[in-house]
Amino acid sequence: MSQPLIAARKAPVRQPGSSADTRPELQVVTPPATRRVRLPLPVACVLLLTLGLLGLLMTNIAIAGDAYEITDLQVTSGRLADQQQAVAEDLAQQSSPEHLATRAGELGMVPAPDPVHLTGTGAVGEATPAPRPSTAAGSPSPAPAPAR
Amino acid sequence: MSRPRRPRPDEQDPRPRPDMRMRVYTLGVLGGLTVLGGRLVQLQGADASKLADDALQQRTSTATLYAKRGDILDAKGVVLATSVERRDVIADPKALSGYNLRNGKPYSSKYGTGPEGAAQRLAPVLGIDEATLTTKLTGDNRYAVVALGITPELWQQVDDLGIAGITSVRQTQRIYPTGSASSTLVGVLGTPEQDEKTKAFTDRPLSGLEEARNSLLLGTNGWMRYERSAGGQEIPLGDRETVDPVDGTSLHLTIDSDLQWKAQSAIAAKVAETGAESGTVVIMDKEQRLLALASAPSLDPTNLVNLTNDQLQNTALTKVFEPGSTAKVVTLAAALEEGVATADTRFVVPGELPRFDKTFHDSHPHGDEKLTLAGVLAQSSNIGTILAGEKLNADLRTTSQILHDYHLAFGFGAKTSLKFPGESGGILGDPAKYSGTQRYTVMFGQGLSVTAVQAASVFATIANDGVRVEPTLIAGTSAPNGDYRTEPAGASSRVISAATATTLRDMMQAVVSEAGTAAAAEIPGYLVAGKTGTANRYDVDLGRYSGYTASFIGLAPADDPELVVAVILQDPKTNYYGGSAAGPVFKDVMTYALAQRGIAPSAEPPADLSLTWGGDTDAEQDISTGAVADTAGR
Repeated sequence: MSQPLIAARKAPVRQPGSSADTRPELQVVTPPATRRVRLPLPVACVLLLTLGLLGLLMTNIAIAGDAYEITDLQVTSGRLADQQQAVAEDLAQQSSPEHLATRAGELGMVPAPDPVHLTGTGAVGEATPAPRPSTAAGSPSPAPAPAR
Repeated sequence: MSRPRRPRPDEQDPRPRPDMRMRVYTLGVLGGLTVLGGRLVQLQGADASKLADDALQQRTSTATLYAKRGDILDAKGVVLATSVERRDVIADPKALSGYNLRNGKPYSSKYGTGPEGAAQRLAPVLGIDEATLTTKLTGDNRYAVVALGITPELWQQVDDLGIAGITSVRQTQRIYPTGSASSTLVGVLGTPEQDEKTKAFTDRPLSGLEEARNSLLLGTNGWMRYERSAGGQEIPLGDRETVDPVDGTSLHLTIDSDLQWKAQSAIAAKVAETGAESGTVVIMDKEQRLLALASAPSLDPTNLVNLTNDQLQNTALTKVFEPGSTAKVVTLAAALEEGVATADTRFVVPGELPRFDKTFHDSHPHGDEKLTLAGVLAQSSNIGTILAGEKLNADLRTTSQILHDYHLAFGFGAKTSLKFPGESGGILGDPAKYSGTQRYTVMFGQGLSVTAVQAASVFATIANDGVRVEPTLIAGTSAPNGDYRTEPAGASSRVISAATATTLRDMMQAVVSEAGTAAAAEIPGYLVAGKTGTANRYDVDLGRYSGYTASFIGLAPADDPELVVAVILQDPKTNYYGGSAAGPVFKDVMTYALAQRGIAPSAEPPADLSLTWGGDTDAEQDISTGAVADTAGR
């Protein structure tokens, strides 16, 4: 039992007819035009809590998902690094002078003979045709035209 | 029992009284709670940190982040040495014995079971014979090496098979794309050492720059510690500590890998042809930046089995020899610089010269010849050189001291600043303690020892108008973050005047003419100045002189020098004359180098210095018939 009710019960009862003439007239008043629909507080709390939890759960799921994605990307990155390394290694091998010389020989190329220099006073040096490749590997090289 | 009666207090009631029961229960519960509470206090209070650590250990994983060893690159950025990742495949035969078996039955009908089943799947990927593989995977031990040094990509394929009991160990391998061409210069890494405790490998360089600059090339490994789930997945928002690895610093050399290869293949062919013990080619520009340091025999860096100590050495810096006639240049430089002779100072060179307790000879018998100083050099006359040397001072001891000072100034007798492993500084005696004969022999390059780089350095000094720059091999370094730092240039000092240097270059042109000792070193279009050397070779093993050192050192173009090439052959059997053995190698390498570096041909006419005087027909006859060999005889 709430306090106001107790207070009301304990209030002295008015004597009838003692001040009937002085009683103010009651008037009918119109109720307020709109009554606001108000969400009961407990429902609001529960809803807020649920939403919060749900948000937290979603965030956690997203973070965990990202962790997996990071791992996948790291694996991909590692594989790409391996590939890059393998290709760089291959390139280094291919571009070594020794290898290039061998490949050139296979193509029927030969080291250049002594060059002839054209200077202001005329040609310097003796033009010699390139020697025939000793190895018969690769495509047959065309007969070298004597340089003049 | 007739009727119930109140029990007396003193009477023993077999049933416990309710309040007693309550008490016992209470005590039991309290006791239980006390034990639990105590345990709780013990766990939370006393052992808390230890237990938390254990739990963390259970879910913490530490991974080593490997640092990459620095690369070694040439002047144009061609890779001479680089590190790559490799995997060693390790098997656990005990675990594999149960491969694809569950309760003794095959788990998957697709594959075989046990070691045979695993081998069946692994063999095609690894390219190993199935039977061999089965033998490797069978056993009761827990460790068997299946394959060494496979590429990470291949390991990935093996890993994708998902065979339990097959693991890998990460290794790094050093590869040398240029192979044996620069292996003695760059050096090689041996088998890495493994630390017992940390299981980390450390590089163990054996030779060359890998050894000399190891501390620079070496990186520092890092590590990463993170929390992971049972499946190995990292726990998000867990503790994570990372110490990044620091890669090693890369070296950029002054070496040109094309020249290095050319020099190496040329000298290796000549060593094989003449049956020489070893050979060396040094190429440098006039500022003494080393463009090639070739050494034969060389070693194949991919095959380090049965390597010998000799193969590891770069003979250009580690082998000392008596230079012989190439050192006559120093004696004549001293005579010119001290002002006691000029290029056309006249000498009467007898066929033999008694000095101290020995009679000196030239390489070929002759009567009195009338040669100029230029002629003495062109003919490489020992006696003429002694006569020119004696002009330095009336007192022989003082002459020795003057020559010694010139030797030092030209860089003999001291190590270069290259800090190359096993480098020798050569051997230079104390002039105060020279033996009587030695005072004369040092004039023509016997009785002192130099390295090929020191010998070439003399000619580079002459090419550089008399200013000697300390030889350099490393152009710069680049830090892992990409910062390139240029190495400081070598210290320079003036040794002879520019005029003396020019005179010497003019005199040395005659060596490579028809009249000189090395017509084989002539290059069409370019004036070449050089000097042959055929010296008696001191054999350390025999403890006496045996065989010869044939050498040719030259610079081109003589009118505007750019490059110096030194070719040294130790103990060639078939042909030991510097001119004819080393000369062709010089021509081959120098021609290639001049074309490759785009050096314009000589515009000046050759310096036609007179080699004889007074119309000495005998000497000219000797010269024109090619009877001029060049031996610093003893």
